[in-house]
Amino acid sequence: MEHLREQLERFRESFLKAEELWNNYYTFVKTTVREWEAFRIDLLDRLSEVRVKLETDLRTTEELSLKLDLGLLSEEKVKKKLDELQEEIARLKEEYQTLWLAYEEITLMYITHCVKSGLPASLSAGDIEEKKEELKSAVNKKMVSEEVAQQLEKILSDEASMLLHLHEKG
Amino acid sequence: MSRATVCPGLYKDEKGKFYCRFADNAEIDPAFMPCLLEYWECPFYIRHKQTEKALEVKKEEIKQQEAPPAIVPTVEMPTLIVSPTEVSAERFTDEVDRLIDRASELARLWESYESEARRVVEEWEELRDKIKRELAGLEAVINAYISEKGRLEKLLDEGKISEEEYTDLNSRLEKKLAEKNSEKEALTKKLADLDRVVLPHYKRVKVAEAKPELAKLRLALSKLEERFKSRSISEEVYMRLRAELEDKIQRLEKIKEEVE
Repeated sequence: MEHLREQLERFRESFLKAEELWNNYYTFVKTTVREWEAFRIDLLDRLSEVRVKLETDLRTTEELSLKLDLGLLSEEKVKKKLDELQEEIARLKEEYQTLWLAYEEITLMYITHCVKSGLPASLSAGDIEEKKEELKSAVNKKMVSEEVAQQLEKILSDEASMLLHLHEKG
Repeated sequence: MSRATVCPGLYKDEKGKFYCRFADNAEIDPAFMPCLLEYWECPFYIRHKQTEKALEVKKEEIKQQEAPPAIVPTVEMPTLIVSPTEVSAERFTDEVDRLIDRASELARLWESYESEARRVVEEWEELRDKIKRELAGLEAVINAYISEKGRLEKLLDEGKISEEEYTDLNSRLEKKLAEKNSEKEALTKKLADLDRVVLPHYKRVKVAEAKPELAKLRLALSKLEERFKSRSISEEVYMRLRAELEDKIQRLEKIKEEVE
């Protein structure tokens, strides 16, 4: 009897500990989710700006060659401008890829913990589809490398699966 | 009386730098001052004129005070060494020489002005492109905020976030949106200020080449049409470049009309 009582006490303590750990986990996830929602705005801000500037620079590069063909600009001027643009494009592309990858990696973690904790995720399957379309367009415009595009595609598919899981659970 | 085309206070040293007599001989850039435009509205010119007038009035007063009683003197006329015709011819020769000098100086000034104005116009065109790119970036951020606001409202409606969370995130967004809108407004204003200052110079230097430039642009436009018809360029590129060319043509046509 004494032996059984000890075992029962140990289980009670373990479950209480599990409850406490769960509460800590839940509170921690909730706080992190909230902080992430707020931080997302800054990240989106920079991402949008970099994307548009990169698009503009790539477009300008394309137009410069055409302007040379049409006799609107001299070869010297086009070369000078292209040199300037190439440097800027490389810098923006690097920033764009890094930020987008980091953003999607965190988003996947965010959805994963929403699924685990039972918190509602602020993303829908439609949002993921939009991002996939955006990725296709970015690949066509050569804004991201093939390698980064593959990594992003994989993360986006994982995000979609996680969201599906969340809906099934909900 | 018609006015001179260049401010009489403007002069140039051997190195080609410009100075203003009326601004204590300070170095100036005529491209940014009205020396070659409505210089009579320049504060330095106005100040100089006022000082000149005040001095004349003072001189007149002193003259009147010092003037002896009005007695008509019997002055013996000096003997003329040269005949009146010779004096008049010499005077005209001097005046012509002086005018030739002034005209030559004017040509030099115009040449300097024109090359400086061309540089300014070229830099203006480049800077305009950069500002427009910056504005496009700001526009994208503003649109991202607006769509984020819509998403937040949707989340609130669906009960995925609490009222408190919504208020907090929405106020952050509102603040950032206001910041970006004011940045955009300030930059747009700067661009308009820049256009206002540079456009008169643009018009002046482009007048001479408006006709050949128009021909060049029209030729480029027709080549562009051909490229599009043969599908060697995308519709997006075609539309954008066409709009740019048409805008330039319209601007030059306006300048040409104003001159004619």
